[in-house]
Amino acid sequence: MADPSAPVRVRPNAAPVPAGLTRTALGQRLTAVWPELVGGPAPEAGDGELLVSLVAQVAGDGRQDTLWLLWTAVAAAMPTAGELLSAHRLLAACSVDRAALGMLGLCLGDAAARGHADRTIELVVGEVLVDVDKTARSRLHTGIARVVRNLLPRWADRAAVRPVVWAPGTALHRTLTPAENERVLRWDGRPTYGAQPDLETADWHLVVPWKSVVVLPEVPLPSACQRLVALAASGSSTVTAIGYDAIPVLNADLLPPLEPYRFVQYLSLVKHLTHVAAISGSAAEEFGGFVDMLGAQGLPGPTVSSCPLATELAGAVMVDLDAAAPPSSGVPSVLCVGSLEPRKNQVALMHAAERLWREGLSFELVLVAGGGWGGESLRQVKDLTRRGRPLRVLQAVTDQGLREAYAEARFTAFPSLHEGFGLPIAESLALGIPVLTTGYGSTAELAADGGAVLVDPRDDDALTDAMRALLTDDTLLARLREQIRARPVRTWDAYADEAWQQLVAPWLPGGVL
Amino acid sequence: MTGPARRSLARARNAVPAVGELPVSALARLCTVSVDGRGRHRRTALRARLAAVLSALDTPVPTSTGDRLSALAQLLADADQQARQDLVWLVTATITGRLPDRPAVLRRSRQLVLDGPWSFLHTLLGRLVHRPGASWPQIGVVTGAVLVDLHHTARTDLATGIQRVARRTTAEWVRSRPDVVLVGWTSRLDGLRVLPPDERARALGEPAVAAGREEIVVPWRSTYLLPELMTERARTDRLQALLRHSRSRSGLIAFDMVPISSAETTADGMGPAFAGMLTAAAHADVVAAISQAAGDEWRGWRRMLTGTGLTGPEVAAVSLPTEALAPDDATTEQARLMLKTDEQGTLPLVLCVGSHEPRKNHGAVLAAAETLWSEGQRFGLLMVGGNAWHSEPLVAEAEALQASGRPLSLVSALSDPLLWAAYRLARCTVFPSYAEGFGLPVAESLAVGTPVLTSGYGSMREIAEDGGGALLVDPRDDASVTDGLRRLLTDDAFHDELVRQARSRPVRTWPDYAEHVWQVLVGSAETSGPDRSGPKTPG
Repeated sequence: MADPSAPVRVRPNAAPVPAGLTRTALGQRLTAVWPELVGGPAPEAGDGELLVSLVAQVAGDGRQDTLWLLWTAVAAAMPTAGELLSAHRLLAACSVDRAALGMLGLCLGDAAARGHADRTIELVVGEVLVDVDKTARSRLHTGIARVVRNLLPRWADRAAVRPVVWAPGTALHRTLTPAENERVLRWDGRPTYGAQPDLETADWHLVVPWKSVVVLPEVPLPSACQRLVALAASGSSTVTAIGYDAIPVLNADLLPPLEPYRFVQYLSLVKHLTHVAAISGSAAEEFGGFVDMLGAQGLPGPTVSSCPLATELAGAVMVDLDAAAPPSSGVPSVLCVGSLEPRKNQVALMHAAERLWREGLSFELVLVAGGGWGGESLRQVKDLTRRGRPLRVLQAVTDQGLREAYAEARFTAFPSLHEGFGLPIAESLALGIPVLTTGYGSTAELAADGGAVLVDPRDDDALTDAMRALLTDDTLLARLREQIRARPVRTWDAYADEAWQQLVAPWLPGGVL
Repeated sequence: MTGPARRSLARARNAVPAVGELPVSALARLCTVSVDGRGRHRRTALRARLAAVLSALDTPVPTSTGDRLSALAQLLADADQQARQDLVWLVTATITGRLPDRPAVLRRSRQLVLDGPWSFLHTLLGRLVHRPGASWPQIGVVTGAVLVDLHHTARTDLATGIQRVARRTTAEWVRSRPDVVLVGWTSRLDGLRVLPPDERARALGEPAVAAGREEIVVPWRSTYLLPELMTERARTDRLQALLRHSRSRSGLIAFDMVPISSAETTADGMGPAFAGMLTAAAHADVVAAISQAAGDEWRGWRRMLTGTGLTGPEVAAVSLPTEALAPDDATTEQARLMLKTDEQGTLPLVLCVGSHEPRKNHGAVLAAAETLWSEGQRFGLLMVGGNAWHSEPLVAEAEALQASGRPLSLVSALSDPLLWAAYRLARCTVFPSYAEGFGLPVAESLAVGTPVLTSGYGSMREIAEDGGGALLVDPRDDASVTDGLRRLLTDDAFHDELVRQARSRPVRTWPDYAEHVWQVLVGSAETSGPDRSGPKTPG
């Protein structure tokens, strides 16, 4: 615990402090923003004088963006929309001296609660910040983490791209520690869990964007969203995002309540964004539909584009069917990759499999599930296992193990009820394995270039019929494999380029490419 | 029980042949015994429920229980995919008296496919409680009727905008169409029941009457209407299955999408609850939005459904009515004395109606008022509205203004006559809300001829432009709100012009509105009257 009576300690400065001056952290922060708010270098004056001058400047111009920057510098925390409004009303109603005191009062509570009043800031002007908070902190290789770990190394070569995460207290961004940088820029694929970096000893500092482009390739936590709203709405920087899906508000019956709760907080931020690059045409419709709602509250909302994810799988080699080893089980294998949860619809798949097993078909069903919470599907797994059905559930599978499961599969089945993209379909097709999947939404888009059989995942009979055909009709399978070979491959390089064109290039000051 | 004992019991259970492996004749016998052999009350009730299902499916009702079960088993065996799920829904709902949710329909349909109709029926009957003395309520399958779900309105004396709409609209429907069946949900929120007389009276805002007997209903090829919100997952999950499988037409009155489109202004639980209701609404046939702006929100949501493989309901907009309740002079005088903001009661009155939640933007109203008071403008501000989510900062600010001597009054609630009198007394009403499905205070103020300052977009703009009388501002810009209020207070010619416009606005009545909504929601699907197959058939 910090001793409140101890003198404020100044941490190592990120931005250079004018030579010959000893400044408190507050003084450094005010000095850092002075050139942007007033112009020219900050005068050699005490903190109080600097603050009053800056308040006078910001009160005079009546702008939201400059007020946002002043608040952030004083509080060492980005304001929420409500805080920014309070400060705006304070400056409009009071004399400069009283407003300066009031600003201190409003800000210091936040600064004390969030614990960064003793830190200096680096002001980042006209650059690109990418918020990679979850991917940098965790070794989980979720769908979103895959996108970030493929995107950031490709963007890193471009001028002035800075990955950032949230500083403790979730009120301001900071730079990454070396370990975090590794996880984002040089992902090694090891599914081990490294020790969390020690922020007390690691080298990092606070970062404040100004007239920059802030890109959100993840879905931020609700507490972060509150701060990002004011950043975006005040016009201090341009904020853009990758849009994955709106599943939590469209399929709430298939999810725990925490997910829609988090997601509506995210939507409160989305309405103030400048642009959303959705990961499929279907996801673009979801975000576009949300934007359509915003006229009712007088907001334009972001522009929305479709920027489909890559279908390329690094190091993928198409399975050579003539030379392929027979499955270890000796019977054809049907593979389903996805966490066990109602939305992924494994219950329907297992039902269809049971019908076909009862018909006398011989095949194995392999579920690769990285986790999940579907009680119904677990019950069914137990029931089928008790009946002695050839059903295998693989958990915590390595990348290598997953490749082997694909290589053994006759086809993969992915009858999900709703997807933003459908990564397992792209994986399967990249490895040359035909797919049985859902005939609407993003999965239908992915399948449009061939190699897949489409069904209505809510129709058990149709699903059973399609599985039967794929298990018994070798001509159908050969045709699908032929189609897969003719499919165009979308590379991560192409995705990264297009995402840059949509999320960054148009909004960079001066149109820098 | 010890671990080994539990394991050996589990082994013993596994040794018993699964139900699906028993011969059909044995299962059929077990099913018949399950109906006939466990007491008179159970027998009578279940035989009537079997008859109700068969009648609803236009099938002759045999006399013996075994024959009834056989007839039902035959129907189940013959059904293909969609018909199978619908039948499973109907049979489950009627036999158990509890509406199944979608996972239950799927589970039972799959059992039906894998193990046959007798196994399905055996499981269904076996799961029924048979506590001694358990009550076996009558369950009616209602076909060809229009059911209006007023569950929440029947249980509350609240008079928020939503309850007001639900009450007034349904009252009109009941007046012109006595066959309409008003329903609510059972105490376990797992089934529909006809509202007994006492709840019906409360739902319609009529004088209280004595309670009555409970009757559970299962709609089949009927019309289901929901003129209020539904937020409990227990209900929305069951409603979803009902809308998917009951072969009924369904329509909702669609209020706003605020919990999705402005989550920052609502309590934390509202987003998930509202999203739960949307999973059911996605299967409705039609919604009647309360304004064009609300209709735009629902159409946006409908576009969002693309990735779910659903088209969603047709979205129509029917704007709410603006019928004023003219206060008499005595009430107006009483209001003048009660609601004055200064000692003499001579200051021009600025009225602000709405709960003190962030969405209503009352902070901007206080900021504008304080700026104008500082300039020396003379007026009193009367805020009518209860405390709500996150109202503390607003109330603290208002109390600080009062302490500094500003003529500001806060009233948490007013009776309808006094509220209408307040509208009439006011020089103007201010309502610079961030987001509204309709913006009732705007319509109400204009209906009595009092000008309004309100937001220049969405439903508020829509109401303003439907005949004039309002000054539109940008609610996110304090200066715009302040300038607008100053003009309404000081520019008499402008104020007079707005009064003139407000007084000549067209009047739309509740009967007009209710009829229009009925045409949208029920339309040509309307039939002659209810046909309750359950109670009519022999037991």
